[in-house]
Amino acid sequence: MKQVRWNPSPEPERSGYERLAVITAGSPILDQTPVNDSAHHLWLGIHLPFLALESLDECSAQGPFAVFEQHRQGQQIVVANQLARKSGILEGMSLTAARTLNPDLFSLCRNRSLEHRRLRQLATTAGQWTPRITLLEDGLLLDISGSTRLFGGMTQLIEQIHAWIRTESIDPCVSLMPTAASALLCARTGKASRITAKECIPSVVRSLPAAHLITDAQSHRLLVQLGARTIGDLIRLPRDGLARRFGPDLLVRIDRLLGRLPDPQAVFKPALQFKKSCALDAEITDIEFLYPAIRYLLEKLSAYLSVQQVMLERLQWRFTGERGARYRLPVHLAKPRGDIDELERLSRLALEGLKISDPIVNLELCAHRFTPRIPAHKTLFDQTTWGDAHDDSLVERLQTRLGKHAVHGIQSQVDHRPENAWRRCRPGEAGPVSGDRKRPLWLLPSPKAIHISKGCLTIGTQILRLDHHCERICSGWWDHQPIRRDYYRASSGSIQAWIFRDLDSGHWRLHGIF
Amino acid sequence: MNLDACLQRQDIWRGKKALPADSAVATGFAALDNCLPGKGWPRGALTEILVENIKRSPLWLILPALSRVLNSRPWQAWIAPPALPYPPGLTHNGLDVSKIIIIEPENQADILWSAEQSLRSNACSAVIFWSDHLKAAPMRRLQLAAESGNTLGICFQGDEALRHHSLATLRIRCKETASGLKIDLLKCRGGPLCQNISIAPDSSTSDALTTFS
Repeated sequence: MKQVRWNPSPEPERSGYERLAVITAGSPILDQTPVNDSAHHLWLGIHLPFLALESLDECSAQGPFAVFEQHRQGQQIVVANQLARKSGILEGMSLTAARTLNPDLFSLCRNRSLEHRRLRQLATTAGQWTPRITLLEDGLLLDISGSTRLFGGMTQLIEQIHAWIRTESIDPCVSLMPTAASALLCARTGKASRITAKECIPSVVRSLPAAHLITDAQSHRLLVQLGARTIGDLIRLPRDGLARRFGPDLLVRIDRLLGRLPDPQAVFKPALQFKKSCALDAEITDIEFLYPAIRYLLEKLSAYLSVQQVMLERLQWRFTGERGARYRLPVHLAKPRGDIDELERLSRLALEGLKISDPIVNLELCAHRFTPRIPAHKTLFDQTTWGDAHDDSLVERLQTRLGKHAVHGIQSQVDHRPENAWRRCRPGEAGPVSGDRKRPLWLLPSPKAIHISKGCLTIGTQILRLDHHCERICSGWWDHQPIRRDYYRASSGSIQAWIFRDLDSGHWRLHGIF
Repeated sequence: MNLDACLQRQDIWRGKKALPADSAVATGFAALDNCLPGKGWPRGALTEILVENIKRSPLWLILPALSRVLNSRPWQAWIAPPALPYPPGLTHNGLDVSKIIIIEPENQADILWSAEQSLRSNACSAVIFWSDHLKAAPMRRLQLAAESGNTLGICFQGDEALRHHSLATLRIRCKETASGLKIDLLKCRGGPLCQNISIAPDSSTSDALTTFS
């Protein structure tokens, strides 16, 4: 077979910025990359032959271990570990046969959802090398064409990925091909090829069994009758005849394999979530002793944030006490943050209010609200005495210590009813400007009763004098809070009061103070 | 050579330190401005305003100064107000309410903490808080925080604080009268203690007095 050599960095123009762009734009699930001839992909197919074993918690079992699947005929071994293989247990064997071979065999039923979860975990980690990752049934496909330069060339990048996957999995097969289908095929058949040019694909795949391209049994028999055993045989056959015998699908598959047709792949988009816990050596009753653990977890979080190119909107600390008590401590951020020092400061602030009755044995940091990282812009000359940093950090600090509800802004609201003419809002939020009518500076939370004694309006011991009639407010019939009131300004000594007479009941009430 | 000319001489040193131009915020009431050393509320310092009833704090007294400094920094902190500062009323008096943050701490310790954070932060044009009697140590701390943040700090307290010593730069007492307020300066760094300064809210209208019958 012709030896294919490296084609050093055929496409140097796509750097790490592409990674950023894809993550920040919130890439759609199916990334229909328009393929033109100049677009050159490099697919790294990773096949994990022992995935079914590795995804189970029991994979570290010492003895012979196998995973089986329920079939119509019975239970069939899907994958077995090395010890089991030594005793002659092979894939496809029935479970009973395997047990006969080795009575000590420990077996479990295949759990595909766990496999998928394991793949998702791996894909999330692989996201540090490229954003274009496709999940397969038994492995991963990574399009690394955009990140070769960022990681110092293709060789380095592949070595990094290879080194990583070897620590994660047993006997992984990594193969680099210019098309997704060929990368997948080579990885599955255990061919660790390194091809970058499309022209070289046929030389690699032609020796592979044709059965990989044809799945249904009938076509398979036809294939045997034709005498076409390898993919090379199929490629050599006339295309129209192939299409007539096997259907046009086969031609599409072949074309995709050889890179003649575009082959868009579904891009895996990791669900952003960070959860890490830290078991404490001793039971901790003093908050101060938690700080090192907090720092440790925040550093992990910081690494995660920089890998995912995101910033944090909110985080939550969870503590578990020795006697099972659970504390949850949210830390609100006024704006998305990624700097660990600020997060630590806020976390400490939030912790100050925590009262521990149960010694803490476990600490957990959770974060699941993120926003794309926006590069900070700074002016060359700092023109203001207060920097941007002060802008929200005060509100943030206050909210962290006092609770979100305790720090708020106020704004006017368009409504004639005085009670509804304002509302709480987030600090800094601007509302409609209403200032045409004279209104008091203080509004009482609920109107206070005014009594009439000896013909005078009195509140407590003070006599109120009506200054002048302001306005009549009748409104709110549509939302079941109707009011019909006559508002007056009144004074008692220096106090200027805003009082009203309820037209329905005739009662007088104090509502505000000027 | 008369006295005034003599005082103009560069080598004549007077005991009262001259205040820098930006050290005070005009109160908006000429009578009061004239009695204060920097012609206004001292900036970068704490001002104590003692009122008879803290629930009826005369907001109009500080409102002109508040709107004057409002745009110099992003926020204005109002801590533990005794009632609702009413946005339509404030807007009518020329205050941009979107810059105001209302802070409602649950206890006195948190009031002091919030006040200190806000005063020190450099992000507040003014910090107004309503508090129980302030002890010497917290008062000193707040005074220093106001100095370090160069923030206008105003604290409303009840009359009972009269019995205690004050560490604030300015301490005034307001007495309600029929036409407005009568203000006594109880402590004033760098100025005489003027008494019985009468101020009326600009908006006060005393026409059309009618007694309800």
